[in-house]
Amino acid sequence: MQRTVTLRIARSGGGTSQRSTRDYTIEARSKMSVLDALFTVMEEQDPSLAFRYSCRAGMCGSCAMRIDGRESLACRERLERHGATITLEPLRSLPVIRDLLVDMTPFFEKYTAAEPAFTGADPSMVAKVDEPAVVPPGDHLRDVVNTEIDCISCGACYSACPVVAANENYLGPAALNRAYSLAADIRDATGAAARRAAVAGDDGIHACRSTGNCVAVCPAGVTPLVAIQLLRKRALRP
Amino acid sequence: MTAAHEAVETFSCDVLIIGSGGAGLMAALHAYDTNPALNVVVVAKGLIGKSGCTRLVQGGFNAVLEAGDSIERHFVDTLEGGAYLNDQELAWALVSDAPEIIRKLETKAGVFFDRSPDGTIHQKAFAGQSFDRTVHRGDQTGIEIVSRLHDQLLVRNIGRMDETRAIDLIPDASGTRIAGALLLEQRTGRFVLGRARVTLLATGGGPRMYTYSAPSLEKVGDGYAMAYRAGCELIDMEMMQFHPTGILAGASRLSGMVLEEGLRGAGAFLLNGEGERFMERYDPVRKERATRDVVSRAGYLEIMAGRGSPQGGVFLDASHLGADFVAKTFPGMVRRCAEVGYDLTREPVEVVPTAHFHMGGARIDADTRVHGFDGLLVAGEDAGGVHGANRLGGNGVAESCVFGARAGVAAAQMCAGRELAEPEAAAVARARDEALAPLRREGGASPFALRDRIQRAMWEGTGLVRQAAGLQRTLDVLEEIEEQIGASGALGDARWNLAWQQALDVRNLRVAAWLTTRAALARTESRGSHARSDHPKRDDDAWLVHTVQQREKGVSTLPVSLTRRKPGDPPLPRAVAAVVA
Amino acid sequence: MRSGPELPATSRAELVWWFLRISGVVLVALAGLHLYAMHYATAPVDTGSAFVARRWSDAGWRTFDAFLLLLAVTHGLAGLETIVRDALRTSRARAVADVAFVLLALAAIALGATTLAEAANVSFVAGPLDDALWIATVLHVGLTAIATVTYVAFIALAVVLGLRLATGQPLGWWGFSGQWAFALHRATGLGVLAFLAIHLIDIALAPFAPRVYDATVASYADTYLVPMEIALVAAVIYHGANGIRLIVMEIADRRMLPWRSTAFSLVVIVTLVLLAPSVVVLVRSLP
Repeated sequence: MQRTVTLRIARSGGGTSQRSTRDYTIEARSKMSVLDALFTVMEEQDPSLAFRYSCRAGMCGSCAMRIDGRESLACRERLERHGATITLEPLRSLPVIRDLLVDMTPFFEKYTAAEPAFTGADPSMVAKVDEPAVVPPGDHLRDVVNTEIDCISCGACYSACPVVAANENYLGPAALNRAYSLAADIRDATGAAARRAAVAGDDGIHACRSTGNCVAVCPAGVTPLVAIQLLRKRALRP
Repeated sequence: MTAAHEAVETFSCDVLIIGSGGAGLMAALHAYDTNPALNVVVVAKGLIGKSGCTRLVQGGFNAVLEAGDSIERHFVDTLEGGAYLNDQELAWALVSDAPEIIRKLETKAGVFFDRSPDGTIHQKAFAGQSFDRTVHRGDQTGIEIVSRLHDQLLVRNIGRMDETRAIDLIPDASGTRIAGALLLEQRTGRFVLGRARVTLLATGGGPRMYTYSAPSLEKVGDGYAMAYRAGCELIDMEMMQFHPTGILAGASRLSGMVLEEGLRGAGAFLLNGEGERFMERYDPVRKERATRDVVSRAGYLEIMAGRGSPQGGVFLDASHLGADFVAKTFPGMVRRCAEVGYDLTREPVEVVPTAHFHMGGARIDADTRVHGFDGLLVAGEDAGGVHGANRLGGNGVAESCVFGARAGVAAAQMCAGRELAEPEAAAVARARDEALAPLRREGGASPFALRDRIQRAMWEGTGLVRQAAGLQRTLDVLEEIEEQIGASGALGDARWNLAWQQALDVRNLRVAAWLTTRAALARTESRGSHARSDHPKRDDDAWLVHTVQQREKGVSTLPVSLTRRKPGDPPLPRAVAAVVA
Repeated sequence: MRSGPELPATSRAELVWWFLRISGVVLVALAGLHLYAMHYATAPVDTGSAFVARRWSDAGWRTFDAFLLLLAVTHGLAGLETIVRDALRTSRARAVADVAFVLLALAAIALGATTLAEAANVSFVAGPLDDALWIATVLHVGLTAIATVTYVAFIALAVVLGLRLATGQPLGWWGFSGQWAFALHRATGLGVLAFLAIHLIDIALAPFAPRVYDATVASYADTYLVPMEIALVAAVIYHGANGIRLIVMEIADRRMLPWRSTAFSLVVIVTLVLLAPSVVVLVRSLP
């Protein structure tokens, strides 16, 4: 299908703080994604266009942005599934460095605040190594944890969440989802006290308003809404 | 305008780690945990914990965990797969450490590997192995490993510099002691000199110098180029692994991305354009489960003989395995195929051999120390010798994690009692000037066009099957491109200038391509993944040697040290619970 | 290995979260019944001092209204507090806000208690504040202001969204049913709370100044305020129905995922269906 597509891209930064949109028209070739289209624009029309990329296969989460208003990975959005004009904007609620490039630091700071690291009996990499846990079928660890650990920390849920937008301190869906995975994972030995406090505090799970935008946009099929509910219910063995 | 007047901002640390894949992250954690007082800094071209190729690992991680398996068996499989070109001490280190690394990932980083019905870690079948020993998480093992290692990094006091690329390793006045590296912050366009007691190069190589390749888009052989420019020995650069089943996705950059080996391990067929299961002709015993080099070359030859698929590839057909089985076992791949219009569960998918892994690299010892240098370690794909002439599926992420761990421990030990070296000012200035050059020029060929030219030349001349004339032609084209690079400009703002970054990428890509082609021309035999149509036989008498390239010393050879096993040694008795290939 | 999963600690936030839901469920019954009495069984214009006198002569109704008041005020202020808390960054600012809300709640409850106590003892024919007709004017102005804000907000929203659709701009998160549910829940909560503030004062007039109260009720029948009457009933129904939806979703967690959009549509339909009879009653009562 040979047709042309216009990318309407939010431009900002790069020496000016002006926000504007610019249209770029390209030929939409077979099976191209929005990311492919961005490369075409950058390589052939405007090398000053700023966007982020790495794996191009939906696994690293680097290219997350708003496509026609909805958070998604640019590498996984095929042009043929969109109209003749596609609007591209950076993720919401994160500082915009330039154009489609956002600063992920606040996202990772909140992720870190939820104590995301697994803690084994002796966390040091150079200390005694234990045997891996035996996890038989039917054990909750298999089903429950198995879906929520697929998070690729792309920031789509963070951007789509209205509570994140309203409350600067809210930890956000990704961080709380990670906290849930560890809370439910009995291989985790010490259960950080800081995690319990962060999760239960004013800007933790109880600030979630069950809106569900996170579930709607997650490219990895993770359901932070459910993870947060399970934490609230303390139903860590559903 | 001259470099001398522009002072470069400098910081000092104990361990500077360039790269944040399996090797970089394991090294950072091991160095820090060995001595938490150390100032460890991780530098990555993309976002730490997200970019890189360890993330892309689908298949899994080979390790001896079962009683019926043995370290020796894994070692022999690795040597047989590598056509005995492996550095046997490195290969032995890999297979010996792998089991403990799996246990560390599971019990210290919280990686959750898939389980068998009896609750123990599940190990699946992978090509070229005499035992089912590939540990995995679904069909997306890499995401889990990198995410969990990154979590561990977040809660330790380890420095990080995201979206910062290394320009060059900086020696001291002696030239063989590495004092640190010149770095470039992509967001701000600022150069920073990182001084360190120990520098670890773990950028991950990654063969993106071909039209179809699997790695992440930022991989351009930065590690090889920097190592070469610093004067390191680079061995076996001709050994380029092509993965037989890279997806063909029209005009999308997704083309080349790997559809994992597990599909063939589970029984999928490869069909040519005429619907024939052509592997029956190329390897009647193992068919689709032969090693990657055999299967890739078979596919390539079918395509060259005019029996290819509509997009110029072959077909991968998993439909006879049952739609439910495929959907349940390979959900990531099913989804990826569906996004470009293929139903992997029900129909054949067009695939093409895709450049996947570079076996060659810097010459190191079992503690990742670089031969002939002080204060420099190399781990992961940037290093050579572990896999010989061809890598077994599942041994790649194993190499990154095993040698990353060794590098971290070695780095921490090396820091004790070692002073910072004084970087040679002229080296810093030279590195910065060369990097700035494209930014100060206008016109010339676009760096994107130059990249495409390199990729096309390599695909045609230094591809799956090579011969002298083609290789020489590639060298000529690469020389021409070197001149064009010298005239190409990316004038503009230094901040997040993707064209400038591509110009820097192309500079390194060309070096990696040139090293690969030169070595391919030198090795006049066929072995593992290196196939010469003008020298089709393997020649152990003359060629059981590594090719070695070093700046100002051209191409030489170094005999392989057969410290533990020789080709032709009696095979091990059949394993008790082996897979039937 | 731990012996069991690690559970979040109980916190102030959790107590508020539980309170909103428990009080919400009870309010569905209490407010529902109250709404029925005021807007379905009777037309609002007929709820003058005589009506109030009849109702409050019954100790049962007085008790009912006491609970309704208690729960409505605390639920409403707890809800407002969650909104305000989001906007406040520091724990000091939040503590100040909490104190303010507690004081407001106490003031409202005190007013209501005084009203009900007086209601037990008076005739509702005349009262000590009957000369203060200016209070009726103030209340009318207050309600008019709230109505104006509501109407302007509606129109602005329609214009903005309409323009976006017309110029082909994406709706962004306004394309998610969950976003609408969330925004409407807050908007209806705020609206009802604002009305409640006026209402607490006006109903306090019934025993203390019945003539002023009658003047107030008559002024609420203003044509300008008719859409507001409808909006009020709709707001209460929507807020209650959506609240139930949220509770059901939270209990069912993963099982409700495929039903999110459907559940919201259901809430909207239920709101409209339940609203209809009250509109009929209202329209019939207009001059």
